[in-house]
Amino acid sequence: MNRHCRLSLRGPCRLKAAWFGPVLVTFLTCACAAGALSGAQVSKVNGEIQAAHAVGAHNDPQAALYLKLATDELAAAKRLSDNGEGQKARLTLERARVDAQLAIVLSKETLAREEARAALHKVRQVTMREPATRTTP
Amino acid sequence: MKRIHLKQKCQISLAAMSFACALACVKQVPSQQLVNARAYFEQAQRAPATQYALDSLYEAKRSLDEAEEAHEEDPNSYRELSLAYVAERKAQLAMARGGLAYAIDVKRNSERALVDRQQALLEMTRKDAAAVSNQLNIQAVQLQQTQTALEQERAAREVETSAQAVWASLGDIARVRSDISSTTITLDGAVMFPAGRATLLPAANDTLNRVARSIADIAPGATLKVVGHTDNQGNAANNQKLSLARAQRVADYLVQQGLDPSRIEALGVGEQFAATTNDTPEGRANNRRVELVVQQAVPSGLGSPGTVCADGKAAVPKALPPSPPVGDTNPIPIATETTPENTVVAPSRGSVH
Repeated sequence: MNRHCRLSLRGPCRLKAAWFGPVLVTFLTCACAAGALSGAQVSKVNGEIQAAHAVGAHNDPQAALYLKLATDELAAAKRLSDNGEGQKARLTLERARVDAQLAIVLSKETLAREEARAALHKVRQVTMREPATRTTP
Repeated sequence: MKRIHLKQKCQISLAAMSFACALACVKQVPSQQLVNARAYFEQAQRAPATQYALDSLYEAKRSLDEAEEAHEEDPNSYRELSLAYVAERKAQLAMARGGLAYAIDVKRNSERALVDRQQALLEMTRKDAAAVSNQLNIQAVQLQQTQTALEQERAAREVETSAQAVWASLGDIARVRSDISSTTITLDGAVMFPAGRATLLPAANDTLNRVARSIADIAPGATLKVVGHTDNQGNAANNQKLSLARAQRVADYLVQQGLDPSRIEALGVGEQFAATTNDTPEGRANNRRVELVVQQAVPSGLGSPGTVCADGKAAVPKALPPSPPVGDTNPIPIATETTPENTVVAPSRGSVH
């Protein structure tokens, strides 16, 4: 790369850079895909599971089911990773991630529905207490 | 033989190629997981609440597309199953997020409506309280007015009661008759004056002293009309003069006793207003009289049901006689009226009211 290429990516230099970027990304992707699960990937899913616990997913029957699935799939992903089956491990980890997310959202939805129902009940109570016509003395 | 063998080989190869082509042309049946993912995605698309989470629905569509691609590339593979599983969960996530957003929206709107209603109720309660307070204030003012009126009435009744008592104390020397605005004290002319004259008898002094004291005590600010009356004996014009002279004499005496002269008026009506018949000696005696009409303003709130005499009997209200022109007020002796002892029967002029 001559001096001109260092200063600006134009002409032949730009062509070289356009090839170099995708090739590098593809290489890294393949390297990652072929390898074991990283700690960051596992920690991220683990964090989702902890978050689901924090919002009380284990107390909601439907959310608890998905939380259990997420926990089991996380363990399975770790096992697959340990056995060298990186691609299956990543796919299983993704399943664990979406299950944990679903557990969180379902738990929040249940709570929000209860709060909305309570708010509606209060509105109805106030509406019932309010007289239809009021006479001013 | 060799030829046949080659021909058979060609046929077999052709058949194998045809079978391979047929296999390639037949589309692979999707996995149950992918079928489920498609169904969940369609359900998510139809769910109204998903409109609250369109980004999640779009994400689910992308995952479903990846699963479909995996199915095309490698049917029923672990990748296809896993991606279909993820697509199914993302469709569920889209629905759950939509439900969550909808519930939050409902809750927020309900809370806003609740606040609005509570504010409206509070405002109505404030208005009601103000109205009640206003009503209470009005009632308090009315109560105060009623109490004041009652106190005034009580005080007036006390004054009236004491006045009645004072008037009643004059019962041994005069006849007293009260109505709403005036009290009339009738003095017997025979006791007050000698026959036909306008000079006071000594006994009249004591009577007029008591009357003057009573008027000064009870009605110091009242106006007083002293009205002289005669019977119908003798000349009417002379009777008129005599009655006026007697009234004037009584008025002068009352002024001497301390009553305000500006509030005293003397009238002589002669025989015009007979109290009773002039056909009998007793009747004529009753008609010879001097009336003291005490007039005072009626206090507000004081209502007198009717005319009451000092002796407690109901009295017939009589119209006050019209004021005749006041002539000479000097007491002059006129010897035209008959004395009670004078029983000469004179022709009756008829009773006058």
